[in-house]
Amino acid sequence: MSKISLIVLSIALGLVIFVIGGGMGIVYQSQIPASTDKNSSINSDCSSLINVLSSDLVSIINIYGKVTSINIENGYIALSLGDNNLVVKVKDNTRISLLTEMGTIRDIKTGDYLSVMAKLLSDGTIEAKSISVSSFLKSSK
Amino acid sequence: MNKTTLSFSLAAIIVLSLVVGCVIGVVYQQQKDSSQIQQTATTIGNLSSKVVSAVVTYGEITNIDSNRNIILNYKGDTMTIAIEDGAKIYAYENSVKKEVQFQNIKVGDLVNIATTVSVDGQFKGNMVVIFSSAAATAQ
Repeated sequence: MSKISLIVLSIALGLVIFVIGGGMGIVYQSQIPASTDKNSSINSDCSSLINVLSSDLVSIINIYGKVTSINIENGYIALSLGDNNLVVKVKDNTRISLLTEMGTIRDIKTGDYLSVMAKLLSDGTIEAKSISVSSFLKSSK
Repeated sequence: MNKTTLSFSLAAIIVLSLVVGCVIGVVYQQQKDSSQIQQTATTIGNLSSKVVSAVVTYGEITNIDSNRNIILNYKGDTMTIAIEDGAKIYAYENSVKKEVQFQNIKVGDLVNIATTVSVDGQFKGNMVVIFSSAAATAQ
């Protein structure tokens, strides 16, 4: 066997063993939660919690707060109530109601009070299904 | 290269690749786990904030224990909700909504439960609406 073939073969073998080792490492680490590691057992509980919260078991999440910032480009609205804050994702098909007529995210202004019906997505994003701008008349005066 | 050196080199490559692969695999999985924990902590933090007035759940009751914990099921997903002492319980009788007692809630009922999420990720029910009573259906 030539020297070049031997080097190529060694590299290929090394890569295969490396991938096998990586797989073993992942399997080993992912098995720790159930047995010993406390943080990891919290993790498995938590990930199932997000799955449940984003499932059809949760019909809707009611949110109410004051608009502190709006990112029209990416469709995000930050809300606050007291010292608590929350960001909701607004999509093109989100129903936005301005008391007597329908509107868009561009009609929402900082300082408006919103009542939002939302769903939690599996990636943790809170997606608005409908928004009522409860202080629209007051803020538009 | 003689045979001994070749065997030694191959063994070294195998061991080194395995060890490096293993370490990278463990680190990768650790980072994945920690980002999941972070994401969940953020979600629970969001849902337990004052901005969220209620998380409304819907499903069939599969169990009620003596501590007022209700297990709700919908399409195979389940969650446990602790019903608060002062929670309002309503039921529909002949299309009329009436306030009833906690004892009127039965396994098999289809319900809406308005909950709040505590900072430790527990669900606390403060209002239950029984849409379809298992007891009434059985009669």
